[in-house]
Amino acid sequence: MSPDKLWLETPLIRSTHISSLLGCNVYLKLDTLQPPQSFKARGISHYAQHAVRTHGPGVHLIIASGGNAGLAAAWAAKVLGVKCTVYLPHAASQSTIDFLRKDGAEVVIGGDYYLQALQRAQQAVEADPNAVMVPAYDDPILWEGHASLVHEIKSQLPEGNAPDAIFCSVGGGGLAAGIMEGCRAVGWDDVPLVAVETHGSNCFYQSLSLNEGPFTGKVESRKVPEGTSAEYNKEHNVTVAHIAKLTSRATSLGATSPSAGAVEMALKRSGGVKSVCVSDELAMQACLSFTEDHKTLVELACAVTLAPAYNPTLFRALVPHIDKPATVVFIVCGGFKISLEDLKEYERIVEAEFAAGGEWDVAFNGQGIKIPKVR
Amino acid sequence: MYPDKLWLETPLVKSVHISSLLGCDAYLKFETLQPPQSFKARGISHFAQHAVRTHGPGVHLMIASSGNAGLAAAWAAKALGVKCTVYLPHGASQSTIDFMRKDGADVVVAGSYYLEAYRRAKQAAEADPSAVLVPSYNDPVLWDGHASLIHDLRQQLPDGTTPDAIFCSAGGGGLAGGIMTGCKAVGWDHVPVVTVETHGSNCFYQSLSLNDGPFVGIAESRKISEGTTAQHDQEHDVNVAHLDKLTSRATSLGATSPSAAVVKMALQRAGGIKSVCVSDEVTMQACLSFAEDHKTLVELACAVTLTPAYDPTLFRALVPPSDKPATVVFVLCGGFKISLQDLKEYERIVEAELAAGGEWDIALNGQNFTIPKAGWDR
Repeated sequence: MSPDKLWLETPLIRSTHISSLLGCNVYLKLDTLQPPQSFKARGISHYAQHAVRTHGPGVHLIIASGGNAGLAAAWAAKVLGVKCTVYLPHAASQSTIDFLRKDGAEVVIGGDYYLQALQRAQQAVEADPNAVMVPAYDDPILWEGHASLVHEIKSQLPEGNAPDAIFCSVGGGGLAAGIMEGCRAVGWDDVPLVAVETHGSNCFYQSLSLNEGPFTGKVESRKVPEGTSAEYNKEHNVTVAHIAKLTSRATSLGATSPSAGAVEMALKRSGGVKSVCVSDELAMQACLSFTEDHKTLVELACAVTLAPAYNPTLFRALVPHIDKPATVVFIVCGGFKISLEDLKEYERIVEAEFAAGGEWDVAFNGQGIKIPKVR
Repeated sequence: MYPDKLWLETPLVKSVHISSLLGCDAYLKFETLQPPQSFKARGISHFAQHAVRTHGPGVHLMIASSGNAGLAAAWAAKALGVKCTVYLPHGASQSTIDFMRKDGADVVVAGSYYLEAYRRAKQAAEADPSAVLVPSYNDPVLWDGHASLIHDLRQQLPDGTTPDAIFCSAGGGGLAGGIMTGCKAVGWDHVPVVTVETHGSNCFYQSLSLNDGPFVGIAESRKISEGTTAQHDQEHDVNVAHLDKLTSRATSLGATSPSAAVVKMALQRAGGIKSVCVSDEVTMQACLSFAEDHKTLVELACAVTLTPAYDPTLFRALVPPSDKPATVVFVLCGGFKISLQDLKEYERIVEAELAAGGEWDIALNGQNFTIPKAGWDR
């Protein structure tokens, strides 16, 4: 892609463990290895470079973020030698603040919630002619940077074969939009995309549900969950869900409404979209299994993508059996909000789930399915 | 250089955390990402390809290993479509055995310790004309494969940058051999190499001690540890230590005597060698810190390399400060033998060490010193 790109071409590794479990060729795109430890390095540094080109080297990058986007912005600004200020709410952890400062960003803490930090960031941008607001997920320049993921996968897969499915997490839809754009660019518009969220943070799923498309049945027949309001977006001619509050522990998914552009793309593409919601606890189990197999800690929002990797029944519902072994790619999007303490807690929670018995609830394109709890 | 190589050119990542802690440009070479999850993918697949070229596609690869070498052989054999049998001593973990079988290897569990498994492997290889015994660390073809690491580094470091030091673990010396071979090939023979072992598994350190060279004073003045016998290797004209037993928990270092050729390489190179021994416990602390910072679990034998990364005092003893920030590379050699259970245990052990107070014991090129036990912010 861009010759002076700042992000790393990360490895695409074949997972012996997951391939063996699922009976197909499973590849992992390890964006955990980006310098700011998540895929956001791509789109955000691409955006930052664009800002420097259009505003000059005196540009001041501003972002409101509790996490990975802020970190990516701080890193990109440092590499480009430009100023960066990250606005965080009071709840931000000390390790987040330290990590941002190690990368030279100025950190401004204010406000009890993210929205308040965002407001302060917006005020700062208005007050400073050199300032540019770095978007979190809803911008075509961001998606262009994220799309590099797909270009790399194409050159890295053996014999450049198109995968039978690509799996990714969805928060606001920035990653998904980048993947869909990248697929279109390399002739993979028909490659199925599986977009995974949690029940407690599923604005993308809910938005798809508000439109005619891949979901079973008609829009009118589908109930709109309490606390969600529907909004029609004229520019993209789609209806978008606004969720009152997020209740999931996968906080980095963190969007109460998705990018309308991303929703539109998903509804239009020939490969369609398989929108899945899983419980936090199922994501925790996948997180733990991945750590044991691949010796890599991933935050919950990233482990969400891996829930089908560690549950053959769910995987089979998403990637129907074909006569030759499928080739699938899981985007391991990364994120730094995971610790050994978290994992201990997840172990306790998952054990309790197994002790309670029963099955996991999964939502898939408008249908509720149950999958067995397996260790 | 390696046209049909099977291993990955793994990422070289600049660590913000470690660079900030040490005040230098610290890079991590992520060999954890090789398909069999350790650097052994390089030398062992290189050896396997060589075996297929010389013995044909009917070759049967055999190896005795308690872990990572066996995993690398199983993976390489699968990639090349040849048969592989791994001989493991009793006590090898089920997850390691499962991993090998997932890659299609036959696994024979035999003997109560490595040497017995090795004897069984050797017998089997002698009995089978199509069999080739894959060495664990002592073979130039292995080092040639491992040397690819350095070729990667040369491409991956910012243009024209020569590292001020390369850090690696030393078990039998295969990795160190590869690093030194590679350095020589790319004009880095003068680049300092720091090898790190544990006090309870330090055959390389002890071997260097038996020779005149980088160690302080002369060989005769240095005491030989109890339980160690010195042997003169004629072919390489160097003294090599044979340890009775290993007492370290960093079991993947697992060699009671190192490669004589690699010891010789270390004594002869222009950049010299800095041979360091640390305790299991300070290694555990580095392992935990690395997991928190880099979200990556590494086995103890790999974490050993990171002990200077997490201790500025030790680092400065190894890389003296100069007028510009140093560029250093830590080779994250990888390894499969680490679990969340292990980390919980390491936390308890390290907490107890910190509560007990005192300092960590370090050995460096024949000198013993101590460094303060620092807590960590969790």
